[in-house]
Amino acid sequence: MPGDTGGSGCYHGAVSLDPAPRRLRAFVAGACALALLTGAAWLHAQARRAEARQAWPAQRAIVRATGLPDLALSSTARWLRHPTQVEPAAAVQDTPGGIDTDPAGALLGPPFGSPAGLGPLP
Amino acid sequence: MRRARALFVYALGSLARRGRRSVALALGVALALGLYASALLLADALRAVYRGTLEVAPDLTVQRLVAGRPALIAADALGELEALPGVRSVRPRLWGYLFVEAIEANVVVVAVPSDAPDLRPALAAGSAELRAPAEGPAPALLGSAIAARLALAPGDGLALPDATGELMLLRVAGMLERATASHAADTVLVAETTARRLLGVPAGEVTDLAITLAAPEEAPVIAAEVARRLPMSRVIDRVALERSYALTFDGRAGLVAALFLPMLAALLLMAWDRFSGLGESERREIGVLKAVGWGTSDVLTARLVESLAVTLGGVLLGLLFAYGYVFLLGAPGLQGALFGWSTLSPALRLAPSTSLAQLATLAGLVAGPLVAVALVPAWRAAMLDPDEVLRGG
Repeated sequence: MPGDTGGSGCYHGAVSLDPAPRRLRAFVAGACALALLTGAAWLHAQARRAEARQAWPAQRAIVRATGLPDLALSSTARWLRHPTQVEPAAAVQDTPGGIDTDPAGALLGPPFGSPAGLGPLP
Repeated sequence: MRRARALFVYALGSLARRGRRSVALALGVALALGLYASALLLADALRAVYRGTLEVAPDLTVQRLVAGRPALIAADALGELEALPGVRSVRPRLWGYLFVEAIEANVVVVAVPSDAPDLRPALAAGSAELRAPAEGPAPALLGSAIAARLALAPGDGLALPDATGELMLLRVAGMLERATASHAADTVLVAETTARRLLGVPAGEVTDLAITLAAPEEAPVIAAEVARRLPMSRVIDRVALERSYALTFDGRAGLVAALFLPMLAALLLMAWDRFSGLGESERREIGVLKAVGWGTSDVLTARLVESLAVTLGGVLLGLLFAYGYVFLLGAPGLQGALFGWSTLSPALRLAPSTSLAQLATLAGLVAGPLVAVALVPAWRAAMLDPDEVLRGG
């Protein structure tokens, strides 16, 4: 049975050759490092939440004053700037045959810049 | 205790003997889970920003539809709506977009009436006073992204093209807090007269009407009544606002997460192969252990410890990676996929809002199968006759 080696050296024999304490130490060190990192992440998360709570009055003041709760994520596409306010078909107004009704969700956006005199980007 | 320690040490030794494979597997679990969790953390954090302000948004928004598109609405419709029972107030809103060629971006121009709620909590510098003086440029409050892009400070001048293409000179009265960038990074707040000139909206007409109700739960009934009284109108209630964002972010986050699914599946397959396919040496090892007196439960316990150490280590490392990637590095790459591209991008400092239960479920869905696949073949090998295993049977 494991642990019943009775000093045969398999697990706790010659001190200098027994790899068990070394392995345990390495394992415990690794586990402690992970635990410390987890603790640090938790503390960081608490700090970020507190910061977010402090930002609420400013964010709510701007939404109260404008009445527009939409996020300023896709400011370049007019019909995605206020997705809650646009007309129901707006998402496909430029590409009626497009299967992606939300083309802002792309890893690469279209090239910025419009030819002079042609006005805004679609 | 000695027995448990011995089993534990044996399992660690076993891990150390297969060190490279164990580390590769733990890192694979960490990477696959980390990328998947990143999409989850990022989408949840953004939802929290949106939901945090939803409760102060108007209960109902009334637009006028002409030819299926929103059109300007006569401000005198306001009186009819104010008379409806259950309506606390109706506010005409004047807002729209202005393309500024100099920065190749659309800015949102919003008129702030003199009786609007206090803007001072949102102010970073300058004054919130927007009343146009008798002479000189009209004052404007700038969102943080515009101010940063044009390097403007309170007191500076800003020329914006009006609806006719003529440049209109404004004075930067103040700048909005960076904390408001999530909602107003690209916004210019001005007085009503200034907004009318910039957007080309004639007097007596507004963009839409914002209604606040005495009891928000009456919204569906009052929305139906508004639609009956104003036949060409479209009424948006708060539930529709929330649904729009849920659809957008759930759709985008789901798509991004789906991209990582093949990676997660490949990893699980690799882990299955690693854990389930006991090699000849591992079978012999189990045979030796059985021959020297180990029981089936001892073999299984050692195997369980081994697989738990690898998978839980990988899972925890993956979640930490996801956290650091999203909240310390700002999720470069992934943010573009989830938020969309933008000329005036808001500088967001997102806060984690994913619950521990969600993370535990995700971790369990990955770790559970991995641990399970490690036990079955070990149990099969442990049930064999040691003599047969050692003789290569």
